[in-house]
Amino acid sequence: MILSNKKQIRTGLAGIAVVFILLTAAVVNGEVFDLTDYPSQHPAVDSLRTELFYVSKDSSAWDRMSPLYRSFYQTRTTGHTQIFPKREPLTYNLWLQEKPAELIVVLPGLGGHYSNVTSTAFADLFYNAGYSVLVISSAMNWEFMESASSVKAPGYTPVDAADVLNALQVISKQLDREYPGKIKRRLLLGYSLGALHSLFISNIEYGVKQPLFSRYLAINPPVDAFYAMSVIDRYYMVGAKWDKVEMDRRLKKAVKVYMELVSGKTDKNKKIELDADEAKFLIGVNFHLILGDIIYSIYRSHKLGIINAEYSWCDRNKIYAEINTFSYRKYIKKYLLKVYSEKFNQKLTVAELNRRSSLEAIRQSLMKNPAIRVLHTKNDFLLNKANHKWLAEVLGERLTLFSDGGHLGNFYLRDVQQKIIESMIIKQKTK
Amino acid sequence: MFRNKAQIPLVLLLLAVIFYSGTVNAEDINDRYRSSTVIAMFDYSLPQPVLLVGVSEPLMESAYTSEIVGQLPPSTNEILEIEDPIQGFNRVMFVGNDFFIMWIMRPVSRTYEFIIPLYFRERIGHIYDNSQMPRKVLSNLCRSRYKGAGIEFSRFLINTTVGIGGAYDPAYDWWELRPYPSDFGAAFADWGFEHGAYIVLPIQGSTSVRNVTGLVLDTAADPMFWVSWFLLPFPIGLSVNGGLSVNGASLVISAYERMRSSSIDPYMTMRNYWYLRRIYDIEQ
Repeated sequence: MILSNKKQIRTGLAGIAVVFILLTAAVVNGEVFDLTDYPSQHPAVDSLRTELFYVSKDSSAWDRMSPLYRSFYQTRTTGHTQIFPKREPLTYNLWLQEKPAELIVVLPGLGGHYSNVTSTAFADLFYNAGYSVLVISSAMNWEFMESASSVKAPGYTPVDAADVLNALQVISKQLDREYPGKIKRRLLLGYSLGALHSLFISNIEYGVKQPLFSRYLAINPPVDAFYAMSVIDRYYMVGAKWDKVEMDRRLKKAVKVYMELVSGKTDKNKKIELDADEAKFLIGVNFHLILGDIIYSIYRSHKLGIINAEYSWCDRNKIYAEINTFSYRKYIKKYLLKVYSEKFNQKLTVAELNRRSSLEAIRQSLMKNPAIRVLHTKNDFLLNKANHKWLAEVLGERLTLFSDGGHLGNFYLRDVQQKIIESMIIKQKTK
Repeated sequence: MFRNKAQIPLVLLLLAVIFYSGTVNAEDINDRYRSSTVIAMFDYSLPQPVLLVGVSEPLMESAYTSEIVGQLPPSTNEILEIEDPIQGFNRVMFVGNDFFIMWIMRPVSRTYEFIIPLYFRERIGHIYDNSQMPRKVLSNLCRSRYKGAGIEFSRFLINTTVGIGGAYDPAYDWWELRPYPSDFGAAFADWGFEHGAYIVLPIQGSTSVRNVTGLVLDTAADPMFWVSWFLLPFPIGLSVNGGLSVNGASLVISAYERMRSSSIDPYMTMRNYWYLRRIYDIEQ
């Protein structure tokens, strides 16, 4: 009898434990969406599918017969705002609804320009959902750096995010002046590095009486900024193991596949005919070129003495040759350490810079801020297992995980788009 | 297609077993199921990362402390085999062309766009492309792409008749005959000639020594060239050529403006893009 009671108690406790775990799991895990029809390959190959996300509206022949026809991109208003005196004004693209509407601000990924295809596709998506949309360049894009950055070298997230917020505050005031009553609430969306910045902006605004944004949606943010950069370096290094013949063969193949992808000739349901190394190398080269732009921008704006080649308008091959020797890790060491050690007047380490640049630094506000939503993929190559665990632990049900897509490679799916739009909806509190 | 992940029940079952056996602790869970990210999410008792999230990854140890390990891959110039020995001349030409595009071609093109809707501009573009059959067939033959030459010739016959002079593309829409674009520059590439130096020509824009040579043959195989300059009276020929140029520009000028505004060094962007585009033209 006693034994039987003990058994019952143990069974009962186990049942309670299961219920407890079930409830806890629902909170900690957030949502996980299985993209069953996704033609999944290596995360790097999947990531190339971000090129399949472009302006969706396929205009009819009748539309194009009208002399008044304009493509979605051509319907934008390009605005300019002076952020700092004696500098070029910051430029942005704006799609404004005719009636008063909520404004979504889009922050692109690393090096992204305000006119880039992915940001424009987001603008199209949200404009058709009834929102007004504003897109600015990434804090690590040369255009933003030269107009709105308060530092000589971008890459240190707290300062970059503060610069972005400052620019957006100035732009908001300008929009309120130019379009009174047209903008209701402001919502912030960032993807990739833009997502990291949007979360840091949420940290700055957390607890503020009248924050600029009512929602912060971060899509595929890196958790650990410098880890993400080191992965990009590793991807670029893939090409170093190929000899000239191998490089030539793989490059031709990769360029052909990529150009067809970009020009919309690829069947979205079929697998991409690239192997993991080729995709990694394409991604690595792309980000390496972006890094080149960043360093070139610093070179022409500030004399830091890191690039030694003499400037010549006629021949910049030597400058680019020197810039090409930089990886992201080298950039962090040569530029960020130098600039921020001077700025903070203390000798910093890379680990210290990274600690302040990564999401762990804003853990407390991330845990508490109800206005945050994060969408991520389970196989994003910029995250490691610890990062995934960390996100789930800190964000709980505010995190949504997609099963596939690598880094940004599932935006073209209608269901993912729907989830992105849903994540922007702020439910009104019922009295 | 879009449904909630149903992976939790199995995990919960395992956890319930561990609970029931009275040995549950987070380290056990973590050791047993370290590969599962879902399990890792339950793991509250592990020490929180103090400095770096994910610092335990071996990659991270070297990422912050070491110099670049190994040799970086070749630079973009080397990968794309770009030779740019006359960059000064090219940059001057590029600035001149940019001025021409932005201050002459763009206003003309904008006016033209307002008069001729996109739909009809696309049709004109298709008709011109259809007229390029001799170039495409001959260069395909020179590259021993006999199937390509045959398909291009068939496309020409179908599109010229059923497709109303090439305005439409029933060859692809109805018979799925995909184009086999080709030119004599690509033929030289197939024969083993290297690009040679990158050159920016006035009005013509980006090209290379190999492509300039190909361009001569391309022009010779262009029926519009012979018709407009030798068969038609000069003013009409000039108008036809000018009209085709403006029509072509109206279809791509927005993309050029976008490239120009988004690039810190448009010359380099244009040069790199042109090389990639040539690889694609030759490979497709």
